[in-house]
Amino acid sequence: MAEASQPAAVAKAAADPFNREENLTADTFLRGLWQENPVFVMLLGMCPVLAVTNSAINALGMGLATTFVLIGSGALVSLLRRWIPKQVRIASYIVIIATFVTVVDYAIHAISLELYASLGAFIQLIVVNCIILGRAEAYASKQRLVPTLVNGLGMGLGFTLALFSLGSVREILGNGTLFGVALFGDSFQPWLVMILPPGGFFVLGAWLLLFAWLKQRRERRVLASAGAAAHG
Amino acid sequence: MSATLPVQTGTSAPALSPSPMPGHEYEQAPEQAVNQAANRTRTPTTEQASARITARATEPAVEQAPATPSLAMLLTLGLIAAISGLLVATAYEYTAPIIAEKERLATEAAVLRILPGAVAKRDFVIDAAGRLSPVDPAAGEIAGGSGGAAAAGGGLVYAGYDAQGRLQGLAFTGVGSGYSGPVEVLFAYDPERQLIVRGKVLKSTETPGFGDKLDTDPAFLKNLEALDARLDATGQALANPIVTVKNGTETQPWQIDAITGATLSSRAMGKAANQAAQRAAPAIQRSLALLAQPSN
Repeated sequence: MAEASQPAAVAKAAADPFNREENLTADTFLRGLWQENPVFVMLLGMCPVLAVTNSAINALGMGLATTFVLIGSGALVSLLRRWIPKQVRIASYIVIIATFVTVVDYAIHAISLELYASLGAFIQLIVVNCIILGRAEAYASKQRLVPTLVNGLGMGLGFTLALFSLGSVREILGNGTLFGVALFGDSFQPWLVMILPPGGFFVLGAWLLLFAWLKQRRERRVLASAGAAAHG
Repeated sequence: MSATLPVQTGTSAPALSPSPMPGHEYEQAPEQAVNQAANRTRTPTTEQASARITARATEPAVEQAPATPSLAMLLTLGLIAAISGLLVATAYEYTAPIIAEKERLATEAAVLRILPGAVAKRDFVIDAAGRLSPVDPAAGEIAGGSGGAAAAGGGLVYAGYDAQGRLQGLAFTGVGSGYSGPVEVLFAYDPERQLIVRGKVLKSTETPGFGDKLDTDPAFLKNLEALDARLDATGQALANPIVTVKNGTETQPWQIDAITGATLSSRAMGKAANQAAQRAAPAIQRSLALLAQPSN
């Protein structure tokens, strides 16, 4: 699908560098989940990634809140992109992002007091999450509404997935539970450091190591098969 | 934002070919940014900066697009601010009653949990004369502000009653600074025996696994089952301030035996208990008659 749209997109981009609207493809959505995962590939937004992933539910709440802000702010930026003068674009984006963060802050407070208390100031700090401003500047400000929504959803879910992969591992190792349900018997001695701040770095490092290793292995295989094809 | 990202597609794309991703928005981003800066900034304030950028780009200045008038910028920002205000106000209008109701229920649940036998509660504030005065429940519910103001001034005192309207005990909060921040505790107080009979941590940022033993360690919780909070002869303060002592050295009923390895958190509990009792116990003892009236 992505391959099919490539020539048209390239031709369009070459003709007018300011008009780089892309067509809606599956790739628009999947990029954020995998190839350009905001956490594991781009290493953006590390502050919430390390700080609120000490339990699976915190990670999920934070990820979904960020997804909401990504989609909402992206939609508004995309709709207003032709009217926002370049000189005041960053200010405009920040006001738009702050609006949606405030809305999500109220919403989480109304949904669950416990989740609100455990996420603390990190909900408000979504305003300065560079993933969101990055999306607004690099994508939403240049693209039509629907691709922006789809791309924001993909990026947000990719972020949620990354947070959840940290949060679930940290909660299981550091507390012996997942979503508060005990997984092991009473004899399990929780590995406390995993839910303390250092654990965030350990688990993030382990995930990055795993993905780097997978990528290298794939490259070696491609090389090997290319070599075999040449010789065969 | 980096122009070259370590992006690699799955097995579908040939990994060796350096062709850019289709529609990849990071490609060309830097040049575009420079072009924009050079082409679009023509307002007097940025004249010099713009000239410098153009010079650095070593590119003869092409005929520019007209500058964006300030009015357009003001209008855009004004419009965005208006949209923003509208959205925030709508969200607030919708969620504020839900939040207030949830917080009220959470407080009520906490108070009734810490006062076994109680099925109803009444809220009191400590007035300027050092006595309890009832909070109008209707007023307290509508104005989260007034409740908040009272909380800032030391918090409410909750009286729990059983089904027959008999006083079952009182609950109030105290705050002590612990290892990594304030520890807020809800205490249950027995006015007849002048004892703190239970404590429950409401809010804390203490280290998991150490500081949270305040709420789980059975030996430590025993400290709070009959903690002496008698008033002195003047009735103005506690006869003996509540203190936390080193593990295993408790000798008096007003002392709290610390948890080994969580001394600072244990001290926070002591400080919270002392602060809460010093504040609330004299007022409660002065207002026993008021409290004994069945709720109506």
